Formats: sequence, structure tokens, C-alpha cells
Amino acid sequence: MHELSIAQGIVNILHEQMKIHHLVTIQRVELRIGVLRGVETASLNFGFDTLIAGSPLEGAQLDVIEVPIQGRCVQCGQHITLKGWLDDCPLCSGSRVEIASGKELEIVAIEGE
Amino acid sequence: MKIPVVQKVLQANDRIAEENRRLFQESKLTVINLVSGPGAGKTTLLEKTLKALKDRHAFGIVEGDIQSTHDAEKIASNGVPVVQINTGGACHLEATMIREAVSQLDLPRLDIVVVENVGNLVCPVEFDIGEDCKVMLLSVPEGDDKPLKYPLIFEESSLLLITKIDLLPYVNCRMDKLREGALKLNPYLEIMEISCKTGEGLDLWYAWLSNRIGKR
Repeated sequence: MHELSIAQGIVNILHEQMKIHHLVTIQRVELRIGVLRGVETASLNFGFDTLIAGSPLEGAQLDVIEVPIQGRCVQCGQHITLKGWLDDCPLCSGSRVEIASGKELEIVAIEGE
Repeated sequence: MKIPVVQKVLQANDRIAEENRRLFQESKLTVINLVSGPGAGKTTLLEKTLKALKDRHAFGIVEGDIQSTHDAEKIASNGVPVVQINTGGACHLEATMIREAVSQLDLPRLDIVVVENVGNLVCPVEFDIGEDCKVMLLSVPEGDDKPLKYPLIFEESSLLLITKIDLLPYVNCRMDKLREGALKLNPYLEIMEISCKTGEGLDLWYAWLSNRIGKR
């Protein structure tokens, strides 16, 4: 259940941001989450909704942008994108990749009033 | 109103982990984060390691468990300072818990701190505690498909210890498949095969660890 700790991290940042930007409500939170993080969106939403119930954040929605795995194929040396971590290099079928992205876990934007 | 904010969700933890890392560097301390699923043999390996190396290096141990002091007591019987963290339900250790735990150790007198994380292949990987590196254990009964199911822990670890290899004749675990899966997303992962029961491979692990300590 790392989703609950992640949800708590999001809530903490949102409270800070509300103060900084003098917001009363937040409707939407845009997140970038790498496939490799293994975050279950349903569990994340459940944890988030539970944490914000009855608080000024209640009703805020999480909008998750999934970031695929990108990196350099060890075999052909090309920069490649993998949809899932089980995939091989789409160019040469090499099975080993030096990871460059796919581990993101960040808030990129919030919408509020 | 849309406000662009680029902030890492676990930044609060990451910040404290960096402070821990600075403290460890100042104390010339090697810190190993031992991670695995439950029952892979972290505590047994730690006991063996302490028996073999405690006279050569000054160890401190941090034991993370959801509950009980069972493992900490086993380790303490080796005459090495141990701090127990009971997470009280949490499935991983966080940087603040480590900061609190190491404050109870006499860091300047130690060469190395080994943190035995909570047995779990997912959550501990998300939380940097300020360690030098993660050493992962995977026991052969767990199966050769684990790298495909839990990729991040393999990706984040520096060394994979494949444990309980004395059980290989009795379980369906193909070493080539396991190695290939582990190297898929971490081509530079070091891999060793060990058995705490027969002692096979342990000397290589002791040498690896001693070498790490020497680098500080």
C-alpha cells in the first residue's frame, strides 16, 4: 500500500500550494507517474479521497499521466520507448535497457480557485 | 486557474534522506539498505555476516519490522548495537525513521550500518533512506518471475543476492531466466548466488561488503 504514503505526499504539497497561491479549493491535480513506479491508480484515488474527506481539498480529482519507460537499448544503442517493462527493444529485440525515464512521481499542475 | 507546479510527490522524504546521506558521509559510514520480500533470508544473512565480519568492521544494525522485536533480539545476541524500528503497520521504512534510529547509535565509532528493511518487494523501494546502495535478496523458492512482477526493486538495487540456492533441486526456478529478467532493466546489476545453509557463495558476499566499507 505505498499508494497511501504517496497520497499523503500529494495532500501535503497541495496544502502548501493552497497557502502559496491563496486558493480556497482545488479541483484537479495533474500527476506524472512512471510505469516503473507500480502505482495502482485505483488505490491512489482511494487513499487520496480518504485523506481529503472533510477537508478543504474534498472533491479534488487526480489526473494521472502515465510516463512510459524510455532509455537506451544496450544491444543496438538506440533510444527507445517501451510501453511495459516486459517489452523488448522494438528495433532489435534486445532485452536490456538503460533506463532514462519511467520512474517519475511528480505533481506537474494544479487547478483551483 | 491552472498553476504549473513541478514537485516530486515524495520530496519531503527525499529531503530528509539527503540530510541522512550527508550525515553518513561526514561520519565516513557505509550504509546498506537490505531489501527483499518476507522470508528471503535477510536476518539469517545478517547473522552470518556479523559472525564473519564483526571483528574486522564495526557494525551497527537497524531492524525494521511491522511488529515484534524477534529479529532485533536475534541480531543483538551477536554483541552488535541494534536499533529496532517498529513501523506499527507501515510496509516500509522512511527517511525520518532512519534519522531517529541512527541517532541512537554511536556513529563515529561505526564503519557500517546495515538497515534491514520491512519484507516487501514494492514499498521500500519508493523511499530513499539516505543509503549508499540497496542490496536485494531473492530466494529461489520465490521463483524466477519476480523481476517481471516487481521491476523497480531490481532496477534500484546495486547487488542481487540469490539466496537459498541449496533448494534449487526442489523448486522450479531457472537461474538463467531469473538473471535475464533481473538484468533487463538494470544491465549493471551485480548478481551472486548464495546459501546460508551450506555457506556457498558467502565469501564473495563478504568480500563485496568489505570492499564497500573500505571505500569510505
